[in-house]
Amino acid sequence: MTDLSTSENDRLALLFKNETREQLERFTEILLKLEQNPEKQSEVINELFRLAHNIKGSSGMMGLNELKETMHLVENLFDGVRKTILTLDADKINALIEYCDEVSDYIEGGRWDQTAGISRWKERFDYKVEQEILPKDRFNNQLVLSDAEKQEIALWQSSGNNVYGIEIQFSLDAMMKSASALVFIKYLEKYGAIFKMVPVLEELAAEKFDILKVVLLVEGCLTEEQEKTIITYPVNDAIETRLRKWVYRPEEAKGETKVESDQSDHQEAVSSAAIGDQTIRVESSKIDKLVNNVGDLLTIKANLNRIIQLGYQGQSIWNQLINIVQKLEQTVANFQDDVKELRMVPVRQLFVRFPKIIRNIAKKENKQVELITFGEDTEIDKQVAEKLVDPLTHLIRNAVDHGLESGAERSAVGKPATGRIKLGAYKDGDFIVISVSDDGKGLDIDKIREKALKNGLIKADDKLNDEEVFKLIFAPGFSTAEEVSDISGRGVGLDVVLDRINALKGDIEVDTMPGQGTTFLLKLPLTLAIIQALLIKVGDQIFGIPSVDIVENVLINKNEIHTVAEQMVYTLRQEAFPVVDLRKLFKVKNGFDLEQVPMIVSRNSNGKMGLIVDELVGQEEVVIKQINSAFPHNPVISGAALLGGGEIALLINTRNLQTKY
Amino acid sequence: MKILVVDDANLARAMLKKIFEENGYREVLEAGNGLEAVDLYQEHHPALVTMDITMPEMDGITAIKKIMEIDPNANIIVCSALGQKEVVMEAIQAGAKHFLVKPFEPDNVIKIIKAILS
Repeated sequence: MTDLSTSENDRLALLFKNETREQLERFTEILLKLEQNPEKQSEVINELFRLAHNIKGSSGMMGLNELKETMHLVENLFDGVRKTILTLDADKINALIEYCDEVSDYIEGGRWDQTAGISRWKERFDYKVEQEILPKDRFNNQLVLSDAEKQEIALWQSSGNNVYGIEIQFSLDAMMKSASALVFIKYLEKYGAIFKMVPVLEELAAEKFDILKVVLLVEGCLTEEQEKTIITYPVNDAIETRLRKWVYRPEEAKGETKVESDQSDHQEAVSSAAIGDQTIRVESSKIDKLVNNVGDLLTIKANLNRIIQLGYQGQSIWNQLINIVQKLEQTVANFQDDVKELRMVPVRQLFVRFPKIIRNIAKKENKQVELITFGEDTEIDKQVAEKLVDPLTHLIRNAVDHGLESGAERSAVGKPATGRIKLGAYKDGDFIVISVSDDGKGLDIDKIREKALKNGLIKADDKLNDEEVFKLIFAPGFSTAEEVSDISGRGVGLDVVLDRINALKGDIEVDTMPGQGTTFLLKLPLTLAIIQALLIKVGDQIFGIPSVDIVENVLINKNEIHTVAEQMVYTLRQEAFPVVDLRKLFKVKNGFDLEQVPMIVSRNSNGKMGLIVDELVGQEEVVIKQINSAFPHNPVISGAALLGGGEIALLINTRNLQTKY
Repeated sequence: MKILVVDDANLARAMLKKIFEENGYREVLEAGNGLEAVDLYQEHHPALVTMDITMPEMDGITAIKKIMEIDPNANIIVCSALGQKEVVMEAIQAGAKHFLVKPFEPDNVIKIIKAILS
């Protein structure tokens, strides 16, 4: 630090203090959780390891050697846990929490020149992590050339050029060898063409290699100097780089049986590249969970096999079977949850684009706008997130363009000149709520009514309450072409936004206060692929209705259904709503005609509706499948689900049900 | 010779600056996000850029792409936290020549920049 001025050092110390404080807080938080649930250590160990690694590194930079050395031992301890050589028992967790407290005091105290006694922890944390004896290449990847490739190489060599085999050995606990390998490959391309590599480029990310093997074609040959530069090129996590010039010998071509498996690997790589734009990035901890589940399933399978081998032995075997089935149910439920989680991404990925969009509009409109976001870590189904981009963009453009007043207008009413847009997300049961709010002028109820009247959406004598009037902004035809502005108009109204949200089985709520601003709440199901559905029977066919759409199920007397203006209506607890007879809708000739029929009361953005069915089957979690486009499109049916018994349930989209059946 | 350090975290920037200055690279420019980085690159054409990935305004990947448009021979080293291999690979595909993992180890940093600059 001698080279830097005192003020610079002070600044560095302050930054270090702040960052380390945050890291230590997180560290303690995880440990405290572990104390409650020690079985969760495999889930958090990587984060703990990273935190220890970071603190070790930065304390080393600051010259705090005692801290660095003890943190190094802690890092080793975590590494041992990661490799399942050590476990974090209550004793160790306790010691770590205590250690963490002491380190915090030391950092906050700021008297870093003094010996702090942290060294005493060295003894405590000196676990001898036995070095695993592993082969240098745990994956045993072979670089095998096909006959055609050998011919190509022979041809290349015969024209006076050279071929080099280059191997780079990575350390066994390397955490970013895929990126290192890519760096090295790009570097090698300066010298020649990569003819073949193992693993192939597309498979680097899986990190299933300890050695990267490359065949490099070089025009002419490498100078001694160049060879030396290549083998000493710094590559993170690499232990050794080996290079040799190939002399092709025909006898090497014999007795190779691995080519077949090599090819199948290739095919896999090709197919995974083909769906490239549908790939999803998944935290490795989520994969670990799946792997754990597979482990449980294998145990269950082994137990079942054991029972089969034992043969029939009466009651005791029966009891064991029951146990196994219970375990199986639990494991499958976990599996399902974990798989669902794979599709989840933090909404941050959705939100990142908006600061720029807001900046651009604000500039054009000459407004000062500040964006505040919250809940960016809330997770959302990736597919839902992608489909939210357009509707959210629209709402945000609207908020800046129409919601916020100009700086002068704001100042005139005593508001800060800078308008504020708040964008956030939070979980609400099985839903995620995305909220977009502005602190602008709020919706003008009179103007909305006037405009709806002008556009023929309502009649002059319609009696609407405030909420109903605000809902009009989502009606098709509310926004007119006259006011298409470059910014929010585009001829697309809020009706399209609502449509898009409805298509995701979501809904929009509006909350507005004159002079204080407007909030749009988009309420969306957490995931699209798996939903809770109520299964019902109409005739012999099973249908599913998403449980989120259902308010209640009641048994009603048929003679209590009245017909008003050709519309069937039922009055439940003094609330009247339209009724649809699904048996008529699906043209089912039902054999029996009972006095009492089951009715499902559903609710969506159009209001409540009663659905008459033949029979309630039960509630089930179903995986939605798209119906092949070869079948005629029916807006009422949103998909199909395969049920446990092999039957198919068609899923009803209640939003598209027309009344009058 | 100018080096441009791009990171939204003050500590990371200060640490890199310290490493560079202690090793005789005294002209260190700093940027707190991708936008500033692209502007500074345009103006100064530094010999080397260290680029953080997650930043406000413009992320590192986008900035790398923009800088590569300005100068296809730009020497960019991407900086990441341990384990962020996918995004580092994306950065390398976009044109970054190497990567550094936080927290920075001074010897490793110097070894890599020397290799890139030679």
